[in-house]
Amino acid sequence: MIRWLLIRTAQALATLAAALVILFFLMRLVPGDPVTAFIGDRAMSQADVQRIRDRYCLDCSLPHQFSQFIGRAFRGDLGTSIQHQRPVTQLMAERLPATLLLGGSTLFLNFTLGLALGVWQAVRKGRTVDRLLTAVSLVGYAVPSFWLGLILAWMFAVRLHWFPSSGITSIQLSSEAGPIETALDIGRHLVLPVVTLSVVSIAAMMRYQRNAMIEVLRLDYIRTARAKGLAESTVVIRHAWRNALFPILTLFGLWLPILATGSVFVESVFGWSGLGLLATNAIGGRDYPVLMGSAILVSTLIVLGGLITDIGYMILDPQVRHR
Amino acid sequence: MPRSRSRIAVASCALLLTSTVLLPAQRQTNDHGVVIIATGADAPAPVPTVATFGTNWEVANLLFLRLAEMGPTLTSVGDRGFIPALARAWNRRDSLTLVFELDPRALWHDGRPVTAADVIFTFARSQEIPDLASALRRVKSVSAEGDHRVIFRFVRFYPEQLYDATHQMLIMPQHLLKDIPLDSLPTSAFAQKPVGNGPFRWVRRVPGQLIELAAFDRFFLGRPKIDRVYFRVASDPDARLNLLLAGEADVAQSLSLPAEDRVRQDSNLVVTAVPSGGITYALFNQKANGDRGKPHPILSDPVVRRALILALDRPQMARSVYGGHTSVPDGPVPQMFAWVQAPGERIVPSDTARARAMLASAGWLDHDRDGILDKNGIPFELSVNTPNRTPQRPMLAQQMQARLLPLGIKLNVRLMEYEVSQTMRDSGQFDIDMASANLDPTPSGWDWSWSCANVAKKRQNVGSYCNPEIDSLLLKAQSSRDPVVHYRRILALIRSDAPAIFLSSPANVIGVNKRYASHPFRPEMLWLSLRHWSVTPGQQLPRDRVTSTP
Amino acid sequence: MKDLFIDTLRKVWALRAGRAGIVILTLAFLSAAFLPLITQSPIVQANIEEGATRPSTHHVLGTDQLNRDILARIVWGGRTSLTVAFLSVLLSVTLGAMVGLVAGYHGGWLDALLMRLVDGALSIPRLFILLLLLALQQDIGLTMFILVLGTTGWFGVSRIVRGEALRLRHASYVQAAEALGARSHRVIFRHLFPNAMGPLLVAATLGVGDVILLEAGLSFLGLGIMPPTPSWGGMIHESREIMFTGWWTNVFPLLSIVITVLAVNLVGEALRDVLDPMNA
Repeated sequence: MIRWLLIRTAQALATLAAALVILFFLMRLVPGDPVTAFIGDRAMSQADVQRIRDRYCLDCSLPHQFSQFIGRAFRGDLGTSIQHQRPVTQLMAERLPATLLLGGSTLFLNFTLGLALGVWQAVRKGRTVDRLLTAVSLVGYAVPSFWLGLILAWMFAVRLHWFPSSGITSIQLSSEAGPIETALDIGRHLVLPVVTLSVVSIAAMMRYQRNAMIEVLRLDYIRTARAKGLAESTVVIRHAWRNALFPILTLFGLWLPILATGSVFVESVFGWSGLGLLATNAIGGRDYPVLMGSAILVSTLIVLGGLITDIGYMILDPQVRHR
Repeated sequence: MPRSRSRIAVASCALLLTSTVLLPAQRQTNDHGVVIIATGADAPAPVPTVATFGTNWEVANLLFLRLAEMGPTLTSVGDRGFIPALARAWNRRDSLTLVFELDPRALWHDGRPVTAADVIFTFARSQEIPDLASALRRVKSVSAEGDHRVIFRFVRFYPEQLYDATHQMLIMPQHLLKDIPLDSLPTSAFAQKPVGNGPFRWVRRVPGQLIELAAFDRFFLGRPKIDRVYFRVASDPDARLNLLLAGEADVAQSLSLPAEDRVRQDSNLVVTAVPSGGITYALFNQKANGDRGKPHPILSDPVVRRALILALDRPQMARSVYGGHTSVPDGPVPQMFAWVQAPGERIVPSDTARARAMLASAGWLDHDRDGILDKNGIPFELSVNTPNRTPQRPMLAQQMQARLLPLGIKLNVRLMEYEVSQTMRDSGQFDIDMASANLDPTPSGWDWSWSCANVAKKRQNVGSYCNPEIDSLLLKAQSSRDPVVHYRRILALIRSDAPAIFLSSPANVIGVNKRYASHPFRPEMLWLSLRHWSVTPGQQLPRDRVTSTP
Repeated sequence: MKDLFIDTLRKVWALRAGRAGIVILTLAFLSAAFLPLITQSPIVQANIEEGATRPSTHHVLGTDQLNRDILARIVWGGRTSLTVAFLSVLLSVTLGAMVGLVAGYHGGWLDALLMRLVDGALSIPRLFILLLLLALQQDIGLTMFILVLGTTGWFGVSRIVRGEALRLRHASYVQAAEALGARSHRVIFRHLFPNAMGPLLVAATLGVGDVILLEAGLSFLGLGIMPPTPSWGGMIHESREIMFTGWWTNVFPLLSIVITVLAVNLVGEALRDVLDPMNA
C-alpha cells in the first residue's frame, strides 16, 4: 500500500511537471503578444514597447526564459504580471480566498444537497418527485451560467434588494468590523454567485448519483437486506450508498480544480474578483507569468484530484488494490 | 502619446455644452454625501508616472493636482484659457520663460506645504519616463526662486507652452518620494497609501473590490462638498450596470445602448453624454491580404473604396448600435475634437445606385451571373476581421454584410479573439478590419494611423494607406499658429482617398444618480470636477450620512 | 449489429418516456432538416432601425437585435447546434468509454499511462488548445470543428468510465468470463461496456447541453460557426445585452436547448433501462 502510494505520487508529480513544461512552451505559440495586449489602443512609442519587452525578457530565448522561470519558481517567485505590473504571487494571494470560498461552497452544496437529491430520486425512481427533480435540474444545467446569473441579480438585487448585486464586501463594512459582522456581510454577497454556480452544476451530481443508486438498489444483496426486514433508510444508506460512490469519487476528483478556477462567468457577472477572472484575463492578455502561476495551482488540483480518487477507490473497494 | 495626457489644440464650442465652468468653490458647506463610482478595474498603484491610464490614473487625478487646469473651453494654446490650481498665478518674463507663483496655502495630505522643490522633483522624475519625457521635450529646464516660485524655460517659442508645463504633470511630493527609485515605486508603501495634494485623500483599498477616498479637509481651494468617493470594481459591464440599477453605485460610464435604455427607465437615474475620444471604423487594407508586397486586388482602387462607403447608410447603422448620442464623421474625428470639421459640414449621404454605378465603372460587374460581382475572374469577396471584445463591432459588421450582399458584394464576417485579431491586423492579414480607437484629443495624433511614415508599423498604419500630402500637412500644422486649416485639408484628402469606412464617433454615455444637485463631468478626465458635486439637501441616502473620518 | 440497433430502438419505443424522447428528437431533427427550406432566410435584416421587435403575427417569435426573424434563426440554428452537439458528443463519449474501459480493465502500467495522459490533458486549458488551433488554421470546416470538440471533450468521461471498470472488474460475471478464457476485448465489450452504460448515458446527456453552449463560446473566439449563420447558443450570446429589454431574443433559443437536453435525457433513461443487463 505504501509502495503503491509512493509510486502513484511520483507519477502524479511527473505528470504535473510535464504538463507545466508543455504549457510553458505551448502558450508562447498562441498568437498575440503580452506587451501589445497590455498597451491596448493606447499609443506608445516603439522604444517604450521595447523597454517593457526587455523588462520581462520577452525577446530572450525560450530555454533561457524557461530556466529563469524554474530558478525563480523554486524560490517561490512566479515573476511579475505584465498586465498588472505586480508580483504574480501577490495577485494570486489576493484573489485565492475569494475563489476558494465560492468554489468550496459550491462543491459543498453539490456533494451534500446534490448527493442527497440524487439518492432521493433513485429511491423514488419514476415517481413525480423524481421526474420533477430531473426536469428542474436539467433545465438549470442547460442554462448558460451568465444568463442565470444576470436573471438572479436582476430579480434579487436590482428588483427586490434582498442581496447585493456584486462584490464580496460592501463599502459600508469598515476595516475595523468584527469577524461576525464581516462573515455576515461576505455571506450576503456569496448567496447569489453560489446559487448560480450550483444550479448550473448540481444536475451532473444528481444524475450520476441517481444512476449509480438505481444500479445498486436492484442488486440481489439489497433485495436480501430488504427481505430481512431492515428499515428502508438503513438499506439505502448502509448497504446501497457506499456501493454507489464510485462515480461520485471520480466527480470529486474532476471537480476539485473548481477550488482554484471558480467560474469565470459567475465571477464576472457578480464582480467576484477571484482567480477564474484573473486567469481568463491572463489568457486574453497573454500574460504569461500569471498564466503559469494559475496553471501551477489548477494542474496541482487536477493531479491531486486523480490521486485522491484512486485512494478513495481502494478504500471503498479493497479488491481494487490487489492487482 | 497616451490619450490620458491629453492635448487639446483649439477651443471647442461643442465642449462648452457638457463641461461646466469651474468656479472656485470658496464657501464650505455641510452638504455631506458620497459618490460611488462603478469602475472596470482595480487601482493598485494610483501614483503619477506609474499610472497613465485606467482606474489608477483616474484615482491619481483626484489625489494629485497640476499647476493649472484647462479651462471650460479646453483651449490649449496661449496663456489665458487656464484655471489656477497649485499655481495661483503665472506670467511671462519673455517668449521662452514662464514663471509660476505657487499657492502658499497648498498642502500635502500629511500637512507639509507644497513647494517649488516638488515641481522640480516631478519634472526630473518625468524625464525618466519615456513617453512623458517626449511630451515634455520642448521644456528646457525647471528651476526655483524661493519656495513658491517656479521658472519654466523652453527651447523655442510655441503656442502650447503653458499647456505643456501644466497639463502633463501631476505634482508629486519630493519629501516622500526622493528615496524611492522609479522601478520600485509601483510596489512601494507610497503606492499602497499615496499622499497627494488634491481635493481628496487616500483612505483605503480592498484589493479587487474598492478604493475609498475622503475629502481633504484642509484643501486650499475649498473642501469638496462630497465627503467620500468610492471606486467600486466590477470588470463586467453588466455587473457595473447592476450596481447602478440596484442603487449600490451612483455613477457608471461607457453605457451601451441597451444599458442606456434600462438606465432611462429607472426614475432614480439620469443619463448624460460626454464627448469621448472614441471612433469606430472599418479599415481597408490597401495591400493584399497577408502580403504587403502587392496591392490589394480589390481595395487598392479608391473608386471601389468610395463606392463601398456610399453603399452604406452609416448614420442609420450607427444609431441602431450606439443610439442617439453618436455622430458619424467622414474621417477620424472623435466627438472630443469635432471642432476640427468645418461648421455645418455634412457627410456624403448614402446612395446605393451611385455606388453600383461606380463599381461598374471600375469594372466590377456580375459577369458570371452568380450574384457576386467579379472582375478578371476575381469575385468581389472580402473577409471582415471582427474582434469580439464589444458587441457593437460584430453588429456593425453583420449590418455591412447584409447591406452589401444585394449589391453583389460578399463579406465574410470573421469573429475573432481580440489578441488574435490584433496579430492579424499587425501582419496585414485582413481585407477589412473592424477597428476602434481612443484618440488623443488632438488631430496631431493622426500621424499615428494615417501617415506614410507609419505604414505597416505595428498597431499604427496597418492598412498601408499613404498620401504624402497628409504627412506634410501634419508637419505644417504642428508649427502653425492656426493649425485648423491644415487639419481640414487633411480631412478633405481622407474623404476622397477613403482609407476606411468611418462608422461612428460615439459619446461616453454615463448614468448618474439623480440626488446630486450638480454633477459636472470633464471630457478629458471625467472626475476632475468631482469636488464640485453635491447632494441636493433633503435627498440624502443613509449612506450619505457617513461622517466618521479615520 | 443492425438487428441489435433496431431491437434496442423497439424496446426504447415501448417505454413511454423513451417514446416521448424519440418523438421530440425526431421532430427537432426533421424541422432542422426541412423547415429551413420553407422559412424565411435567417440573415435578412428587415428594418434595422426597429431592432428587436416583440413576437407578432408577422414574426411569431419576434426579431433579434438586427431585426432578423427569430423563428427562422431557431430553425436554421437547429441544423448547426444539433449536428455539432450530437456528433461531437458521440465522438467524445466513444473515445472516453474506450480509453476508460481499457485503462480500468487492464490496470497496471497501461492504466497509469492512460490516466496520467488524461491528467495532463485536463491540466492544459481547453481554451488554449483551441486558440492554438485558431493560429494554425483560421477557417476550419464543420467536420473539423466537430472533430476538435469531440477529441478535446472526452477526458472527464474516461475517468468516470475507468472508475466503473475498476469496480466491475472484480464482479463475479467478469471473473467467470475470464475463467472461461474470454479474450480481453470480448470481456470489455460484452461485460464491462453494458454495465458502464449508465454513467456513459448520463455523460452524453449532459454533454449535449455542454456542447451547444460551448459552441457559441467558441464561435465568439473565432472558431467554428461564423455569423450570420445562426446557432442556438450563439443567439443567446449575441442577444445577451438585450436579455431584459427583449426577453424573446434569448428565451426561445434557450427553450430549444432545454427541450433538446430533456428529450435526450428521456431517451438516455429509456436506453439505460433497456440495456441494463439485469433486465435482460
